[in-house]
Parts: sequence; C-alpha cells; structure tokens
Amino acid sequence: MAKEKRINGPMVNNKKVIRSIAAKTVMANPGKSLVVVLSIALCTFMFSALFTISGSLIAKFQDDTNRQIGTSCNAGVKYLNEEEYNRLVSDKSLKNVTGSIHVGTAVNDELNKIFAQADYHDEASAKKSFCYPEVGRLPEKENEISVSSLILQAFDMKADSKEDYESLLGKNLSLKLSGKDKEQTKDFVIVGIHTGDQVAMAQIIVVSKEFQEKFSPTPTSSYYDNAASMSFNDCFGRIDAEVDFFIPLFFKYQIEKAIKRNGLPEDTQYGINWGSVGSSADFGTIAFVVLMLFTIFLSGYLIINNIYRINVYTDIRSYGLLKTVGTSSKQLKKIVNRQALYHSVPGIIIGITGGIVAGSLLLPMLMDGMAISESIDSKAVINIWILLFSALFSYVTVRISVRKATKLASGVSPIEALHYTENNSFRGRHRNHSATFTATRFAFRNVFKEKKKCFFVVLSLALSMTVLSTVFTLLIGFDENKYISNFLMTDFSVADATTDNLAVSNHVYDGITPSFLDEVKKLAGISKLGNVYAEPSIQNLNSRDYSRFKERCKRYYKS
Amino acid sequence: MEILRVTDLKKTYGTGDTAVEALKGVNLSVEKGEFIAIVGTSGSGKSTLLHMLGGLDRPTSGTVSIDGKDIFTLKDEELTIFRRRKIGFVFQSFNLVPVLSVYENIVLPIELDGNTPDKEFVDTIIDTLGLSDKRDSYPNQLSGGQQQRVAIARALSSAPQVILADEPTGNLDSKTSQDVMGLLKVMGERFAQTIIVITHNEEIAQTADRIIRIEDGLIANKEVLTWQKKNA
Repeated sequence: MAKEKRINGPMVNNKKVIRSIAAKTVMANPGKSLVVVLSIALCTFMFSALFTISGSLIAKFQDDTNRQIGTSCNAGVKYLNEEEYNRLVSDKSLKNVTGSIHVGTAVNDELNKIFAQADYHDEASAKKSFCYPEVGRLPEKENEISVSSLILQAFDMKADSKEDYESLLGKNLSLKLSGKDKEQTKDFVIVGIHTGDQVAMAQIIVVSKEFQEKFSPTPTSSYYDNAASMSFNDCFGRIDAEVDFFIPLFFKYQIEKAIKRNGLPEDTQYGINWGSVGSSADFGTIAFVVLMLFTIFLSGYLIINNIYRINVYTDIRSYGLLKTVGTSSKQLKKIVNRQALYHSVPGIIIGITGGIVAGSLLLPMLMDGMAISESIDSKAVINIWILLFSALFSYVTVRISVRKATKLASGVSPIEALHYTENNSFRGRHRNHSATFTATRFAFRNVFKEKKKCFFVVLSLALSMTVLSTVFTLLIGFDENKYISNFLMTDFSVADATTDNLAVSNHVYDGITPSFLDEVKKLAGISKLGNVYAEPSIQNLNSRDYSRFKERCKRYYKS
Repeated sequence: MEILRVTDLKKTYGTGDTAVEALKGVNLSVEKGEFIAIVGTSGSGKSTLLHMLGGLDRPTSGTVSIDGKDIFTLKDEELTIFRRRKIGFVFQSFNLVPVLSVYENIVLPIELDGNTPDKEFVDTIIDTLGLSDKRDSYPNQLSGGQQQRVAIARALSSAPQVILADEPTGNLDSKTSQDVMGLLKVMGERFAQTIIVITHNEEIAQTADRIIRIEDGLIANKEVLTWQKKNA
C-alpha cells in the first residue's frame, strides 16, 4: 500500500530536498561560492556607496534649503482664518498639518541687518520651522518670548553657546513690534532660545498665544472674500498652514487638490517647498533618475549574470545527472534560485556594510569642494530606507541576473549534459601564412570564439567604469564659479543694510557715499568697481492695467 | 504480464550525409520480473536503445510503452516525473550526486517526489546491499563497487516498474563486477523487479534470464535463453 502510494502519489512538498541540494552544492565548493559571493558583494558595494552618497547629498541639500526657507514641510497655505485652517487639519488625505500666525515684525534699529519676524507657533509648528527652543521653553504668558540667538547677538548679548543661552533665560528684551497699522514697544522676558541660522531668510521671535490674540487677533472673515482690496497689513493674525503629504511628490498638484477638496477659494495663496526633491520632480527628472538606476542595475546585472553562467556551465553535468534521476525543470530552477539566495545573503550584507563605510568616507571629500559645505556638516545620512533599498536593489539584480542561468540548468538534457560544451560557433578563418602558435594568440582567439559572450563581458567591465566616471563628473565636475556667473556679475556687493530688509519701512538708498567709494578703490585686489542706483517709487496703474498686473502675479505665484 | 513494449523504434543522429542511424527499427517485449541482458559490440546501438527505454532521449520514430503508457506522448516535464516514479537507472559511471551522502542519494527520487521514504523498505535495501555502515559517507569516500551498490539502491528505493542498467560493471574489476551483477539479480528476485542490463561482456550477460543481441541498430533474429531461464 505504501509502495502503491509512493508510485502514484501526487506531487507534494519537496522544499526540504531542494534546499538541501542547493545548500550542499554551495558548501561543497567553497572557492567557487566565494567568487560568487564576492561578485554580489562588489555590486552591492557599488549600489550602496552610490545610494549613501547621493541620498546623503540630497538630504543635505534639502536640509540646507529648508533652513533657508524656514520650514521643513512640503507645502504651505497662507492667510487662513480659524475655520479654514480647521478644514485642512481634519483632512485625512494630508499626513500632517501645523499652523503658525504672523504677529508682527521687530523693527528696532539694532535689527537693521536682520529680518526679525514675530510669530505664534505651537510645539509642532515650532519644530517644523526650526525655532523650537533648545534651552528653555515656548512662551505661555503675554510678556514671554522664545527667540533666535542671532537676534540676541544683534542686541550685543553673548549668545554663542548653550551655556550663554542658559545665562540669558529670564533676562528682559525690549522689542519694537510693527503690526497691522500699529507699532508697539514692549519689554519681554526671554524664556527660550534657539540657535539662529545664518542662511535663514528671517529670524524668528516666538510670542505667546495670549500676546498674539491681543496684538494681532485672527480675523473671522476670510482673507479671500475680498482679496483684491487686501493689503499686506491684512495678513497679520492670519494662520499659515504648513502641510505634509503622505507621498512626497508633485507638491503643486497635491496642494491644489487639497485646496479644492476642502472648499477653499480658488485664489487661495499657497507655496511649495522648492528645496524638497519632490517639489521639482517632473517627468523629465524622474526619467533621468530611472535611466541612471537602470544603468547602475545593468552594470551589476552583467557581472552577476556572467558569473552565474560560468557557474552553471561548470555544474552542467551535475544538473544533467539530477535530471536523469528525476529532478524536473522546475525543481532545477528552484535549486539554482536557492543557491543564488544563499550566495546573496552574505554578499549583500558584506556589500552594504562596505558601501556605507565607503560612502561615509567619500562624502566629506566630495563635499569639500562644494559651497554647501560652508553651512552644513559632511556626515553621511544613514537611513534605514537607504539600507533596505540597496539590499532590495541588489537582490532583485541577482534574481534577474540568475534567470538565464536557471533557464540553462533547467533545460539541460540528461544525455547532452554528459558531454556538454559551450556552443562553439567559431568559424575558423583561413590564414595565408603559418603563424607561430603562442599562448597570447590562443588566448586572443579564445576571447573572440563567442562574440556575443565577449561583448557582454566587455560591456560589464566598461559599464562599471562608465557609472563611476559619470557620478564622479556630476559631483566633482560642477564648476560653481561658472554656475554663479550666470546670476552674479561681481564678487562683492555693498549696500546699506536697510536696502533689502523687508522688515524695515525706511529704506536708505544713499548709504554708499562718494568718500566710501574712494576708500574702497584704495583696497588691494579691487580690479573693477561699479554702482547700482535705485529709487523707490509708486507706479500708478489704471484699473485695466492693475487687473492685468494682478493676473500676471497670480500666474507667477501659481507656477 | 508485459511491462515494457518497444515498437519499431528508430533513432537517427544528424542529417544528410552525416546522418547516423543508431536504431533501425527495434521491436522488443519484456515481461514483469524478467532479468534481461542486451549485448552488442561497441557502436551497435545498445546504449541508444537504453536511453530510449528510459525516456532520456526521444526517438526519430516508434514507441516505447511502460506499463501500458506510451512514454513519448508525455511532455518533457511529465516524462521527467514519470522517469522518477517508474524507472530506476544504474550507470557505468555510477552518477551519484557528490554533495549528498549515501542515504540521501538513495532516497533522492522519493524526496524529489515530495514523499517520505519508507524507512523499513529503504533499510532493507541498504542492509541487503551491505551499505549499513556507509549511510553517512559521501561518494568520494567509497570504492567503485560501493558506489555502484549505492546506485543500485537508489534505483530500487522508489520501487520502479523497470530498472535500466547501462554497463553497470564497466568501471569495475572482474571480482567486483561479479558481485554487482549478483546483487542485481538477487535484488531483482527479492523485490520482483524487472531489470534490463546493457553490456558488451558476454560473461556478465550470462547472469541474466534472457540475452538479447543487438547489431547495427537492430535486434538479432534469435534471442538466447540462458541456462537459468531454461532450467527455471
């Protein structure tokens, strides 16, 4: 009965024997397995080093830009009232919504060189806007503030370290705040200090909710009810919502959808975080990234594919034997795939470890020549997603690379395997002269015996070098001076600090005097000197021109 | 009861001027439990015939039926599975899987089928073949005769319909050859197994019940019953 069942029984679970044969085959030839593991490790090393470096650079560029903008959120919606803001908060399609309220601007003389903005932030918003106090706390009472260290330095307060911050807590600071149609000087108590960022466009003074409600209360009406007649003054007290999306791509599209979905007016003003990778991800950029990934994948694929084909050729008789004793094609494929898995695990682990170390060591060298290194550190950003992506990318490359080898092994005929040789498509050329046979000639002819194989081997070696030199050129070959010369004509620009300070109402345009220019001309190293003249004026527009101007502004901001 | 039937089996290698007719129309019938030796000189087509009988190669024309089933109507994958379940092989060069132990080699066809080996049955085979103390050894640790015994055990373990042995003593010395042939015969009788042995050695062939001669791709007109069969 048992014998009958054995003969006629259905195909059931034979994973155990497949795993056993695969594992033992791998262990039986440690030298060969080592070569395969090393080839996978090398490819993974290349992938993870590239992804570590590029991932770190992207994160750092993004971080630097976020600090300039003053927020790390994906997008923002401006000038909302409480009801409009709450609609966004309750929108489940948005990952995160925080809000800040613009209260006023500090216009003390000491702050001529700084745009000091007074806002109300809750805890989440303060963290997103890089103004959460490192020492102390957020303000609660009307006369409390948390402030940027650069503002304190402008007032000649020593605020260079955390110890300095600690000593400043509880001290008074008198600020002249400009709000909606009013100006008020008030003494505040410093309860929190955060390190100001030199690259930020504005330095933040965080005021309490109590102060905000008194100084710049949030209007109940919508800004957009009559936006045409609204001025900048009408923005005080309004809520700026800061939004994050679940998928950090196509920010413009997503924020416009969110505005429409929540019934906000069509002309609601919004901004997107232009520093984020997702903000500028158009199809051209995505196509380029996909092409680069494909090139990187191809270089790894060719190496591993060649290695496995050689592996299968050397084991072809074993596969034929297994076929003879009844191993089906599917089972042979599983055996080869399982071997690939056993090679992949140590290879990927070694490759990722080495790649991350190499990437971390190379990154400071690469950043050394970049302007961004002035404002940001060069430590590699090791992210679990980079690790997982590198591992997955490598494993998928191995699985795809092995497919041809599995097909070869599974298609072997038991009889052919007994006397298997590679396809000999070599057509001997008649040679008119007899040449001395040398090892070099033999090697040369052997290389070109199979032209297709020769092509793929050369391509795999060449492609790795291509990837390396492309990445190196992209990173190092960028000439910053040449790039900047598209935007700037000069090395230095000198002007009165109020010239381009938005916080200041009284701009001084004649701060550079002729005597000052004479002194500058005497400085060593000055090769050329030129002047820019400016005068503020008010352009009178009729209603038609004003409508056209407003329309163009709308189009500009929406783009 | 007929277990194997070959009808007008032909095999031609190559085409045109280089075509070689290895089998020119072989007809053969084998009863269940028979021990048959197919003898012939080198190049007579005996190995080709064995490969056809075992489904290792496909003929140019003709049929091979095992237990009533025309094996060449099966697709390659089905044929492989059929071979695993119904046919046992013993080769001249043993063809053991070098990375598996003796025991693992013996039960390989059963485990490939996803079944659990019948421990008692397998142990009986191992004991009968004198391999009890070699269960955990690897093929490279065995002598030629021992390796061939493992191959025989593997062929028997799945209780196939037919065992095909291609020059099973080709790589063995005379003494070991006698032992191996003796074991084949004993195992065939003990387990009521049908065995077909290909050999060029007339002396070896004498252990069989029936000798079939093949020359130039055709079965010779007269079959020879050995003295065992005559006196059965």
